[in-house]
Amino acid sequence: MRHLKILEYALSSLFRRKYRNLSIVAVYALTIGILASILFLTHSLKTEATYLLHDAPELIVQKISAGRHDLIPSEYTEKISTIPGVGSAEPRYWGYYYDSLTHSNYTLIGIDDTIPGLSLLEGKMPSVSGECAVGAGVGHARIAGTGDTITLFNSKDTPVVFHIAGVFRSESNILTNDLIVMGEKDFLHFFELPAGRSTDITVSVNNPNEIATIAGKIKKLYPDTRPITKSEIIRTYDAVFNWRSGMMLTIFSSALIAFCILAWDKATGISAEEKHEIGILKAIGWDTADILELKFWEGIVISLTSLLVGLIAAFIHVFFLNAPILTPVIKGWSVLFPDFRLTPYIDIYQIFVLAFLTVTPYVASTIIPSWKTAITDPENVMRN
Amino acid sequence: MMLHPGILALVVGSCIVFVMMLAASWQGLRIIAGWDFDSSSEKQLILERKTYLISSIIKYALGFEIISSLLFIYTVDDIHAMFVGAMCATGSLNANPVGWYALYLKIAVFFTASLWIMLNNLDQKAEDFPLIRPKYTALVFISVLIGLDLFFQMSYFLGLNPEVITSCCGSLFSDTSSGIAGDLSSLSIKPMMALFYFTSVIFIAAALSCLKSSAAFLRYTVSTLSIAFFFVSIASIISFISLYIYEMPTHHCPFDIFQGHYRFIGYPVYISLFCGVFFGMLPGFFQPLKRIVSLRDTIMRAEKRWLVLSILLILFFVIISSWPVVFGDFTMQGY
Amino acid sequence: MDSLIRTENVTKIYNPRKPDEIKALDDASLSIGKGEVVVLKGPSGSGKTTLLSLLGCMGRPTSGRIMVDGKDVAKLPERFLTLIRRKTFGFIFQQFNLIRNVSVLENVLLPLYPVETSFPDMQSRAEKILSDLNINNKMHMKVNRLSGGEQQRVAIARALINEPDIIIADEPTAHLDSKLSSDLLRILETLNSSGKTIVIATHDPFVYDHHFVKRIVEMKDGHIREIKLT
Repeated sequence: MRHLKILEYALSSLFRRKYRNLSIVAVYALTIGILASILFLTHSLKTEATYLLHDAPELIVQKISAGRHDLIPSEYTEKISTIPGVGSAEPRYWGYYYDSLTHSNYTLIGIDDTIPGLSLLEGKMPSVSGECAVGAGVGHARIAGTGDTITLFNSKDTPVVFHIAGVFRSESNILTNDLIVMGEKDFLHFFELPAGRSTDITVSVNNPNEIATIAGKIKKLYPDTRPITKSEIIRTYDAVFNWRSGMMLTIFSSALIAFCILAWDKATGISAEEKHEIGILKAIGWDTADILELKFWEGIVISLTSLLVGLIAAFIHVFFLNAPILTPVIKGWSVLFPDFRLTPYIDIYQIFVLAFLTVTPYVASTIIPSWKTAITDPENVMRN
Repeated sequence: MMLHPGILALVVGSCIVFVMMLAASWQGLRIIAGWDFDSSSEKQLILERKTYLISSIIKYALGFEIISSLLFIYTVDDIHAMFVGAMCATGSLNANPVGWYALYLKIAVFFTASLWIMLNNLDQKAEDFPLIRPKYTALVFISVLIGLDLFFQMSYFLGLNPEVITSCCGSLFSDTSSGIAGDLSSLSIKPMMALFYFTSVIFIAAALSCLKSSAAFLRYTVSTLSIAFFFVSIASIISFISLYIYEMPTHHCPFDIFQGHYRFIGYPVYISLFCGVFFGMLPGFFQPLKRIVSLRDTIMRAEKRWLVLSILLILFFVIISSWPVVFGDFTMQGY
Repeated sequence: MDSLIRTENVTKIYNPRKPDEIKALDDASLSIGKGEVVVLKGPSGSGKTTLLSLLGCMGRPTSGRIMVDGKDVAKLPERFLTLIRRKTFGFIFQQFNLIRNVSVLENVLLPLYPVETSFPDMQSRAEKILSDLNINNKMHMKVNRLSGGEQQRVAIARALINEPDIIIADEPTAHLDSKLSSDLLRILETLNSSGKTIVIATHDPFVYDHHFVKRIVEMKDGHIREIKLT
């Protein structure tokens, strides 16, 4: 009962000084909003990447030549598929295409029939020569849809026209956004690649426990290859994204520190009126502990309000506006990427981390000022 | 590794609290040095006012430590994907066993800081500050614990190496592994269950008799039993309670029960256990303080409350952790 | 007569051992009985406000004893002084010391916020006091929109909400005209006749010449010069 009454008074006291408190909430919420945007953005990029990897093959084999990724001959594929425990080995054809028209990078994939995991399609997959399917981002950038044509320039700067047979729906995001899928022959022809070579090889393994063994066998068979397992990629992605968001958080923590200085300053420099008010309360029977509790509630209300406002702002910023402030910094490579929309999500762990990261310094920076206010001598009220 | 957002939050927060605790300890030592209750000097008044600052800091620090323990478990759970073979928090902790010490220290800080706050509450009910010296000496001890916690936490996170292949709860808590954790889960379930229910009945019986009699040895017995019950309960959670909650015969992880997948059952389980044990510890701990005249009545009155609270909380804990054992579909026949 | 408050050789020094050291009260001994009306009289700087604040358990003396209801409070920690203040005293200040932009009702209720009383209980108590003082019709107005006399009555209501035995008033008529001053004295007289002890610090002859004043304590330079019975 007592706590509720003090909370009630804290609310009314905050409300009476609403402009001053609103300015604190605004700055606090801005700080939280920036930090939350970083977390939300990196986390959803990570989620997208993990999603992308979900249907990825257990093992990818690349040929390394002079330390660089090279085209891999097709006899490697045949030989690998005969290793015991390997389900199948398939060559993959893919490459990047820089579109000078829209200043974007596209990923081109050549297929012979269908790629698993790319089924979210409007229209159909390319089936005859001269047809392609494009990602929503590509379609959007080139203002083209199913039934239209798209012109790409090959390495001799000769225009090649493709008919768009289908568009990948936008929900599949990063996975298909920058994609142009065409027939294997069209792909080889477009890039003028030598026959009998592919970009890399995907290997499916029957027993997941044997992945490492099989990777070892491949490495032994072809020392010039680099087998990459899916879990390695996932872990690397995790580490990279955690690193990125951590890095960003560290940089933007300066914002947090600046805010704490402000909070300290605001809390220390209480107005003469407020000090007088605390004096009155103490004179008429409030104890130092009661004032400390009052200050505790004020801090809680300000923190939670700012947290809520900051989170909502970050949510809108990242998921509805596509993080215009952060995208260039955090995605880095994505400057050349067509736009894509992130899938909104709410992760309690992240909110918890954020609350912990922002509320702790705020509370810590108000303890001493609150105490200084709380020990106001009640006798002061009788003198002016 | 340190740049994981959760780790960053934990480390930043722990540093802040440690600095605050150092400040509080320093002020505490100054209070001990300058304390003169009979003086009406300005200095004494300032020292008295500082006691508010210190207790305020400790309360915030305790709150922080409780929340940070949860965040620690969540974070450790979140990073398990980076370790080959780790499937939950246990796996991440095994990736660098120092993490276990950090966790134990967090538990130790929870109990000592709560005890300190009870001590402080008692002290403030007496007009002559009878506990000033023990209180502020104990503060230094709590600061050391918090410092150690920070140190182990840092060295845990710094020492994590995502390439390390770790054993997960599946193998750590499997019957073949050695070490305490392995021993705990290899305990046969029937004797463990018997011990668990036996200890809880003895504890509640002792607590009830404390309510009737004022014998000192009963207080000490209750406190000893509550500490014993804490360890028996943790062992039981790992040994059999978790099995019934997860409905899997080999999953012994004591952390997964916090997850929404298991209806957050871990929160009521651990909250009632920790608080019940804490209140159970109090009567014996405060028994020697009854010699102080100005505290005697306050302790006597508070003791009744502690005992009742402890009995209710432990009873609640036993009931909810037994619920899946008694009413669940899962049976351990043959294990 | 049993004394309700008694000071024995009370001295209060502000900023001791510093250049701006002030001996505000020197060796003051005074005994106030239950149901008495006592006036502390003297020019400003004579120590009457200091004595009043010590009597009202607002602070601790530098030396001497202060007995309230038979208990020595001179060395009590501040939180126990607060408890005594909360239970035993009601304060009426020179400036009314109401909290601006807060309603009359909330101002009156403030002393009860840190106490375990439920809101309905508090409210019915406040309504009764406010209607006794004829100000219940303005209960929900902000105090800074009231006239001086009305604010004074709100201040009195606030002093009464905790049902104190002793009312401490510091220059209560300083900001009131003669009509309002006599209203105030009438209210204090009623309170006194209902058994409350009243201690007033003032240099307003209108107050210390009033017929209900039992004793006048004359102060100068921190000393009690004489105690007159009227």
